[in-house]
Formats: sequence, C-alpha cells, structure tokens
Amino acid sequence: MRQGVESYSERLERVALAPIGKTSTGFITFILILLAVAGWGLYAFILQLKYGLVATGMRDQVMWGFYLVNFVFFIGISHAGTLISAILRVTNATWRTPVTRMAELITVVAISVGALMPIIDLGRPDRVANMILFGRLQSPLLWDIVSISSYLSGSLIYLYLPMIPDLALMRDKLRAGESPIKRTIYTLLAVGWRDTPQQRHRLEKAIGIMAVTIIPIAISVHTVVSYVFSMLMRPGFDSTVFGIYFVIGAIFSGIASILIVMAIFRKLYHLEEYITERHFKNLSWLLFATLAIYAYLTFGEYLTIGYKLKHEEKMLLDSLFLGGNAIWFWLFAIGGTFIPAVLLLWRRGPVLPRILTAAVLINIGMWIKRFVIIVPGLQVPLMPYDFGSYTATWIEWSITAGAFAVFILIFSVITKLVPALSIWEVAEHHEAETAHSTGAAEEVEVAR
Amino acid sequence: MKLKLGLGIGLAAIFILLLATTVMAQGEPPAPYAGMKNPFPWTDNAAQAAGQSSYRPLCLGCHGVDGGNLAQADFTKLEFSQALQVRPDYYFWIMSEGQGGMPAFKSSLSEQQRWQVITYLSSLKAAAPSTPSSPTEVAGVKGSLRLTAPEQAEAGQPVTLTATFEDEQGNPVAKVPVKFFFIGKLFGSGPAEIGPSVPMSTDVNGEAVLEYTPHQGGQTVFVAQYGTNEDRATVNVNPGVETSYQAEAGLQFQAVGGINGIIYPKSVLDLGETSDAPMPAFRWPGGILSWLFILVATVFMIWFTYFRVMYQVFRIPIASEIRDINTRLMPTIGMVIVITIGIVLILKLLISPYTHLNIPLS
Repeated sequence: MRQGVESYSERLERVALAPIGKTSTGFITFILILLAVAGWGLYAFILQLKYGLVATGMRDQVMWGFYLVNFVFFIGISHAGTLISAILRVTNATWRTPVTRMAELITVVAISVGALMPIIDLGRPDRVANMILFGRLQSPLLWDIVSISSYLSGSLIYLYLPMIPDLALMRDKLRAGESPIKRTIYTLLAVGWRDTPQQRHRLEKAIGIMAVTIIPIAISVHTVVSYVFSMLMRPGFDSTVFGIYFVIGAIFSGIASILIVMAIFRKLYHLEEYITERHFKNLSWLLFATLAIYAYLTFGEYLTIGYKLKHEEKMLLDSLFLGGNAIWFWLFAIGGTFIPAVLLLWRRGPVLPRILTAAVLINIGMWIKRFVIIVPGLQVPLMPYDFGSYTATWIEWSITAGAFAVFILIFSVITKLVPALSIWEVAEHHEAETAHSTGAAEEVEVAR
Repeated sequence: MKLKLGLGIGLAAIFILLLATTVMAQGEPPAPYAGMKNPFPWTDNAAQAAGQSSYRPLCLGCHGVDGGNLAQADFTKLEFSQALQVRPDYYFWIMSEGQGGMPAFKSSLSEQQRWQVITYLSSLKAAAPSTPSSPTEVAGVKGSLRLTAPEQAEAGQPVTLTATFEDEQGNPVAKVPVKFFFIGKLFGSGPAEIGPSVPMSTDVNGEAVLEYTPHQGGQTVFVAQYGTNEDRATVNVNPGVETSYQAEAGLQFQAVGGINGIIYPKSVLDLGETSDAPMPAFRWPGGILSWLFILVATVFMIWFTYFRVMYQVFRIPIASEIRDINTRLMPTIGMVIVITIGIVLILKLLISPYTHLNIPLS
C-alpha cells in the first residue's frame, strides 16, 4: 500500500512537472504565431490611436461595438475559476482538484484581458486616470473600476495561495545546474514552505477565507457589468433581470471555457490519468444546468418585453427576431443553446467530442449573445431618426483577434512556469480516497 | 444608362435642395411640396386615428398632448386649425423637412402617415373641450351648482373644495353626483378630473366635499360639474417646497440630524443658466453619505480580508530558517500592494462627491 501511494505521487509529480521549462519546436512555433496575431492587433490599435475611433465602426448612435462585446465575454469566462474552484471548494466537491488550477488561471488571465477592453474602447486612453481623479460615486463605470480591481486582486491571491506548496516542490526539484535567478524566484514565491502542520493550517485557513470572499465579489462583478447597460433607458437594456442574467451567462460560458481548456491540456500534457471522463461528465451536468437557467432567463426577458411591446421595443424585437439582427439572434438561440442542449443530453457516442462540441458552440454562441444584447439595443432610435448601423472594421476584428491571441499566449506561457495541476491537492485527494477504499482498490494501486 | 439615371437623380436632388434653401427664406413651401393637398378629408376619422398613433410616439414628447407645450404651435387654437386647412402644403413641408429645433420626419413617416398626422392636428381644435363636458351624465334635477374654495392655498397642502347643489327653490338636494376638475398645465393644458373615479354624491346638505392637494403653484381653476351645471373657483396657490411632475427622482425622507438629501453644496446640482440637475436618485436619510458609507464599508471589508490573507502567508515562513533569501519578501510586497490599492479606492470613493465641483465650496 505504502509503496503504491508513493509511486502514485511520484508519477504525479513527474507527469505534472514534465512540461515545465521544456519547450518543443511545436510550442515555440505556436507562441510565434500567437505573437504575430497579437502584434497585428497592436498595429491595428496604434492605427486606431492615430486616426481616432473613426477607424472603427462605432458612430454616434451605436457607440459600443466589438470591444464591449469582448469585455463582457472575457469578464464572463473569468467566472470559471470562481465556480470550479471556490464554489466547489466551499461545497467540498473533491473531484474538482485536478481542474482548479486551470480554472483559476483562466480567471486571472481573462479578467486582465477583459479589463483592457474598455480602455481600448476609449478614443483617448490617456484620460483613463480621470476615472480615478474625477469619477463619481453615481457612475456605474466607477462601480466597475472598484469591483473589477477587487476581483482581479482577489483572484490573483486565490491563484497564488494553492500554488505555494507546488512552488516549494519545484524549488526542491531544481537541479544543481539551474540558473540562480530561477532558484531565487521559486524560493521567494514558495515563502519557505516546508509542509509542517502549522504551515498547512495557516495556508488552508487563508484559502478558506479567500474561497468564501471571492464568490460574492465575482457575483458583484458581473452584476456591475450588467449595470453599465441596465442603468440606461434603452430598449433591451432597460431590464431589472440583467444582474442575475449576466451572472448566469458568465458562469455558463465560464464552464464551457474550462471544458475546452481541460481537453487541450489533457491531450498536450498527457494528464489523462488525472483529468478523467468523470470530470468532463460532472462539469457537463453543471453546464447543462446553467444552460437551462440561461435559456429560461432569456425566454423570460423577451417575453416581458414582447408582451408589453412598447413602441421602441417593438422595433428592437422586429430587428432581433426577423430583421437585420435576426441571423445573430437565431445563431445564438439554435447554435448556442438548442444544439448544445441536445448534445449534452443525448448520451450516445463518444463522450469527449460530444461535450467539447457543445462547449465550443456555447462559447461562440455566448459571444454572439453579448453582441445581440449590446448592438441592436443601440441601433433603435430614441429620437425620430433612422436606425443606427454598425459594421465592425478590420481594425476591430484585428484587435479582437489580438485579444484572444494574448489570452492564449499568457495562458500557455504560465503553464510552462507553474504546473497545470494542483499537485498537492490531487495527491491529498488521492490519499483520502485510497484510505476509504477497500483492499481490492489497493491491490490495483500496487499492481500499477 | 444607370450612371446617367443616377446623375440625373443626383442633379435633381441638388436642384431641389438649392430651391428649398432659397424658398425656405421666404416661408413658402418649395417645389415638391408647394400646392400639395391633403388626400384625406379633414373629418376622416380613420385618418385621424392613424395620425394620432403616429403623433403620440414622435411629436407628443415636444409638443404635448395637444400642442399646448409650444405656444407658437398650439394646435387647439382656432387660427391654427384654419391656417392648416388653408395652407396644408406649408405644414406638410415643415413636418417633412423640419424647422428650427424640429427634426425632419420624411424618413421616419411615409407621405400618407404625414398627411394622417396633419388631419389629426386639424381635429384637435374640435376635440379639445373648452369647458368640461360629460355626455354620460344627464341633468336629472334642475337647479344650480355652487363651488366654494379658499382663495389662497399652499402647494403640497390640502385644499377643501365644497360643491353645493340646490334646486330651483333653494333647497339642498342630496345624492347628486358631482365631478371635480382642475384646469392647469400638467403635460398639456386642459381640464383634468380629480377626486375619486366614481363621482361623489352630495349629502343631505347638498354638499360634496373634496380634499385636494395641489402640487403646482400659480392660479388654479377648479371646476365642479353636474350634468350641464357647473361652477368655477379660482385658487391662488403659493408654490411651496413640494412640487411634482418635474425631473426629480428619489424618495423624500425626513431630515435626520439636520442632514437632508445631499451633504455637499446644493450648487453642485446647478447645471448653469438653463436648468438644475435632477436630485440624485435613492435619497436616503443622510443623503449620499449613506451610500458612501455602505460602499466604503464593503470595499474596506474586502481589502481588509485580502490583507489578512496575505498576513497568513507572511507567517508561513519559519523565522529561524530565513538566511540568504528573505522568504517573507513576497508576502510583504503583497501586503503593501493590498494596503495601497485599498486606500486609493477608499479615498477615491470618499472624495468622489467633491471631484466635480467646478464651483467653489460654499
């Protein structure tokens, strides 16, 4: 038994630490491609700075476009970490352990990229300091700044805390020939972790506090993001349900994102033993639950608008269901909810491709859904003028592509610096499981 | 071929535009509009109804229910209605192309819809009653109705309106339904019914008493009506503190500790010569201070928690082990960053009511 557990944790360390610091040519090519896309986005941004926002498709009436869509999307998928890690930790769902690190990473990287988006949306980004100097308490944008900065800092801390034992492990595994800078960095980050009971108690207390704190902050963040819209009297924005609608949408697309990321890392870093089909199945049920809630809220939202059918809102619904924006709306409704729901419920065929297809469709659908919320609402005229129009220019497409490239880039680089699995938590979970299991399971363990 | 056609249309458009600008100066409708006639009969009910449904979303916002909001275009005046029927092309042109602050409607309304609106406008004269009339009430009892009201009143304070009905011999009559109206400017001008939805009945003294609280200052005419009998009383209402029907949001609570509504100078609500800013929504006792307190307390709790967590990390290293590399460096930096951002955010919130004072603090 003892032999078996040791071999398990040794193998776990070997597998989880294998990608660290090693770069294949494939990886370097991948990074170069991402850098090229990000660089192209930067070039587009410089052009936008030079010529002003007239380089984009945003005009007087439709003054928000792709950038705000990306903002809501990225802040949305950042909820993956909160849900998978914090909520599942608080509810003591032990199967979560192999996926928490990835979820927390998604959170930190996604908020960082997402928070950039409103700044890119500004014609004069140099004036962003005015938000701090002259912001008003009454402005939803100020609430955004307060809640997003709290969320970003909180999720950084929450990413870091469970990483300390793993950083200590890497510090101890460093070979003699490694550079002293690396040694210094890992030593500093590992804060003298020796895995004494007292240290373990301190760390677990800290993680416990953060897990509970981060949940309300995460909910507040997406509620406040929705306030940026629902504090306006615009048709489609003027809704009381937006707060919870956005939070559910965020958790929905967050789970879909973590599923995609899990599948990629499982394949590339050979983590099949730790991230099993069970994890995909469990998450897919959560995904279906949020899909059902989201679809229900969407139905309720349009029912209340359509039943009253105020003049401007009739214009909005015409445009959404039958008019110029119908293609986007139905792409979301059918491609982003209906087909994924069928894929998640129809338990035939291979599990992984089925769930993954649903996750990818959901993420595309949710990006479109944010577009459907933001742009058509702005197109409806409030004064007796014509409908506004919006077509994204190549500058906006480039910056959007650049943002996604930066997201993947930061994510890939970080997984080469720290293990993608929370090694100590997986080992702990395994110990607890084997302690409970029967002799037969132990036999299997030894046989391995 | 297509190019020629396009050129032709373009030239024609430029020509029309030029013509329009020259003619506009004379106040006469330009070429495409000059001499146009209303395709609908002026009394066409269907056209009027269609016109009304276009009028409501597009015109009512500025003109008011019947044009009463703008003196130069009061649709209820007889002269307007006559002018409209004499020169429909002129008004059709104004509506199509806009004038002054009024936008052009030719892109949002079809030609037929614009004519329907004009037909509807001409009906406003006939539709607006100069005196309240209630066709459903039939004068069953002959007599006279008298309305008494105090001459002076205060806005926000109740006014007692007493309507007395006596028959031809001067005896009070009971159980006579009396309706009350007041004539004032709300969203438009005209009589507005006040009091309970079911008409009040006179008592044995022949009196119907209504307590009404005026919300606006100025000369206010009250009307009591029973069938064709009616009487008017004019009350001079002093504009008090409490007014209604203006751009204002929020619930009015009693002052607590001398702090009412806002804590920063009232001058911050000044938008300049034209108007005042609406009061901030959700006025709580203590005003914006209450919101500030809640927000600051929340932000403080969050960042204090972060600080506590970083302090836990700070205590992880075993002190005796620290040698060449100070393992407490990272958590120390973390604590400093957390304290800094926390203080900046709280200061930001605290000073935010004052950051927009381009007016001296007084």
